[in-house]
Amino acid sequence: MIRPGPWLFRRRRRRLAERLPAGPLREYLATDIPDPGADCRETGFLAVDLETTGLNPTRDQILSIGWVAMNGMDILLSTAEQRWVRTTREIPESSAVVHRITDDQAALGGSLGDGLQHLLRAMAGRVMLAHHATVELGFLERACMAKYGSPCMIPAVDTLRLAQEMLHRRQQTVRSDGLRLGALRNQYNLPPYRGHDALNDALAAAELFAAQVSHLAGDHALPLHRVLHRPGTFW
Amino acid sequence: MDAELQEIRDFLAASVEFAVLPEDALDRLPKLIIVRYLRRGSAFPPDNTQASDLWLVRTGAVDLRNTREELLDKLGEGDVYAVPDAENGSGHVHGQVIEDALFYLLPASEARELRHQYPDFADRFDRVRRRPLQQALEAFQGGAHGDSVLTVSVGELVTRAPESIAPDASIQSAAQHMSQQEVSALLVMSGGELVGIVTDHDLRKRCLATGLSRNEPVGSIMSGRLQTVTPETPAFEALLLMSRLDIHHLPVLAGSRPVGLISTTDLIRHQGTNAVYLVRDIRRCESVPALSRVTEALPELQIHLVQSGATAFHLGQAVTAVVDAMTRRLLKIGFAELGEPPVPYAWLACGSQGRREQTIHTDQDNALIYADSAGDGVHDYFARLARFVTDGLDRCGIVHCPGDVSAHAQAWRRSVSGWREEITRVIHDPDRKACMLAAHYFDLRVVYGESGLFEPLRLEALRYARTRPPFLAQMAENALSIEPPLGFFRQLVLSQNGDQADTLDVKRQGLLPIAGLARVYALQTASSSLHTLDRLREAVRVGTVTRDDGANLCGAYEHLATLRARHQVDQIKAGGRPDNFIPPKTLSPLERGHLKDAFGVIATMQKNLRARLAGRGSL
Repeated sequence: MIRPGPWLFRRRRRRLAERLPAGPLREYLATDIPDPGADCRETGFLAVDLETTGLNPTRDQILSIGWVAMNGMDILLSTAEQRWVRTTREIPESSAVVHRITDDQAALGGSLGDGLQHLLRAMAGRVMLAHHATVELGFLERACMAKYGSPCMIPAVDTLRLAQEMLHRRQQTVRSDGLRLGALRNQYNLPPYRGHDALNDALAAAELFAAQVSHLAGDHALPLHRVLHRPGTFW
Repeated sequence: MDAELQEIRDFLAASVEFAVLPEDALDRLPKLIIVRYLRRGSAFPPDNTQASDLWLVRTGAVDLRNTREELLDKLGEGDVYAVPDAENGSGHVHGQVIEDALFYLLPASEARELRHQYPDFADRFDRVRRRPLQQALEAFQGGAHGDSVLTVSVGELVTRAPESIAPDASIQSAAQHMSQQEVSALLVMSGGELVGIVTDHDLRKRCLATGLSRNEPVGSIMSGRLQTVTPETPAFEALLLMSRLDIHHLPVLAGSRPVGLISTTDLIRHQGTNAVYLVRDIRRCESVPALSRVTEALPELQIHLVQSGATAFHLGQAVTAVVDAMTRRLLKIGFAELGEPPVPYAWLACGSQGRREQTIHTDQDNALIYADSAGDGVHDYFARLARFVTDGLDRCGIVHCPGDVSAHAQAWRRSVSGWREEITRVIHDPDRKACMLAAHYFDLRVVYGESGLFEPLRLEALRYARTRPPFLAQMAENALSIEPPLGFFRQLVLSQNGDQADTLDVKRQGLLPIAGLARVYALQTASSSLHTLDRLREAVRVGTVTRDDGANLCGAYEHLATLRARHQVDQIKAGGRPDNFIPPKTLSPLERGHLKDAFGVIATMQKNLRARLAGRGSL
């Protein structure tokens, strides 16, 4: 199938930016995305992870946002950041068990708008990177709609999808738990991490991506568009 | 600090190089890090790296090689590589990632800033400036307490000026003087000069017991030919001297002026003294079973000394003093059973006992020399005596030598002319095997008997050896035959050829190579020192090795020996048998780092010696 490609995506972002009042989302959308034809090693990424009360963006809430930037395959810990979000509803016990964020902790966080603003600023001009990126994209989209009344059109790379593609290409069957972040990291000899902490998971995804690119491309260039996540609605 | 970066901080803090940084610097460190991934087969360091970049391996492994493709090092988790400057580059190091690896990279600009701020950190990377081993040793022995007998000098223990008396004063007046002053010994002074000492013991043994008149001059019962110490003498050495000579008082002289008198009681009050008790108890034993019971306390001695912070040098001196005492005692018991020796003889120790470097895990290395004699039964007598003594030592926990370097073997039991012939032979026809024997011969020391039988022979051999370049060359060759490991890779010991082993033989791979080097240095200058550290100091004094090299080798020796002593203490306390095998997994990253430095020092000195050998074909 012939797709209109990133050109259309970039034009729609520009259009949206023009229509929005001045603010974090307008600034974000007005900054162009990296060149999809450029080598990944020359591209800026922002590895992002959200801790949420569940997996449904329409019903669940964001508890914390963690991110760390990559210039090419260099992960810059100086950019590492984690923001907790004050929740409006009680945190269900089931999710508190997983990410260990309790009501008390969440009460100390900032507003969602505050977290969103900082994230958008860090992400401007970069490609978002996440493991199972549809969750992050879904929650961020919903948050931007609620906050700014507009979609946010984030260009993204999904390490989970990338892993799936790499396995399919080698015609290997995928075990149900084989695509979990920990399992994939182990496969690339990356150290075990304590999961379910937004910054931790963001960093874990960034390291995984560096490993994937290294194994996928060897010493050759790997154009960004080959790894970009392509939600059908955009291109 | 973010809890996640805390994990990275902890990982950094566990590495030897970063561990020297203060807490607040470690807190700031994670934010300065760039995380990099290099897959297997990648060149290391990668092309775009800069001089002074610091690469810390988080997971994976890297081989480092020189231009001749010889393995220089293997980096695993927690190891750091500092990219050398192009100009003073360390002979072009290149590497390859051999297991997919994740690195924490501290960029050059940040690394330089840290080096600038923290000299300790800079020292970890500055090979020229660093004296890591000496520093490590201080930290290592930090346990020595301020007033322990191991750290104080004799001068600090002297509390009053010595009481003295003239030699022509009567015995009774001496006794009165002692009672009035409440002292147990008097110095005997004649015209401002120290001529002797008289003690409670002398009054009892030489006057009361013999019925000597109390009006006789005190000079008739004093002990002359005194051993003395200076105020600077370490108390521990004074203690060893007293145990070795079986005396209880030592005059302290500043120049020729007596400034004090110390007794075993003074020292015992300052703890750390079971060596003295042990030697005393050994002397009282009348039978081998009694002796073997008494010497069961030997492991306790090592535990006590190591825990009070004794250096390996002190430990070796103390254990050797005890083993010497056991040997002497066994000889005396032997005489009682087998009769007095038919001709003059001397019992000799070699190996670590000869060099006074023993620990409780030791085996026997000894020999016997006796006056030339045509008498029948002489050989037979000494064969039986040697069997008796070596079996006795074995029963007391100093096991028979597995290599049969033992007076009970005929080759180690010779007449004076027999030994002269043998020692001349090995110096004259130095092949590999002859020089292995020579290494033992030049560590021989008289433990008991007529030292006049052996000492002249030893000095003669030292003078002769020095004039024989082929002998010196073969001795050097032998000393170079055991190389220290490169370092550690994960929980394994990494040898020079890339082999890996799961234990470090700290004696064979560390201490013996240093002892071998020290012996070669000693032979080059006909130095009669025996202890490896004495030989090294002597080599520095006469200029065979530079001050720095000498200090580094001494540091390496002390470090390895101290580590071994501690390892053995841990084993004894755990109820096991002490040995020389240290599993790397029991070592802290810091200890591993220091060990690696020690190996590096040995390898460098071996390389220097090898270069000199190759350059001249001899030394």
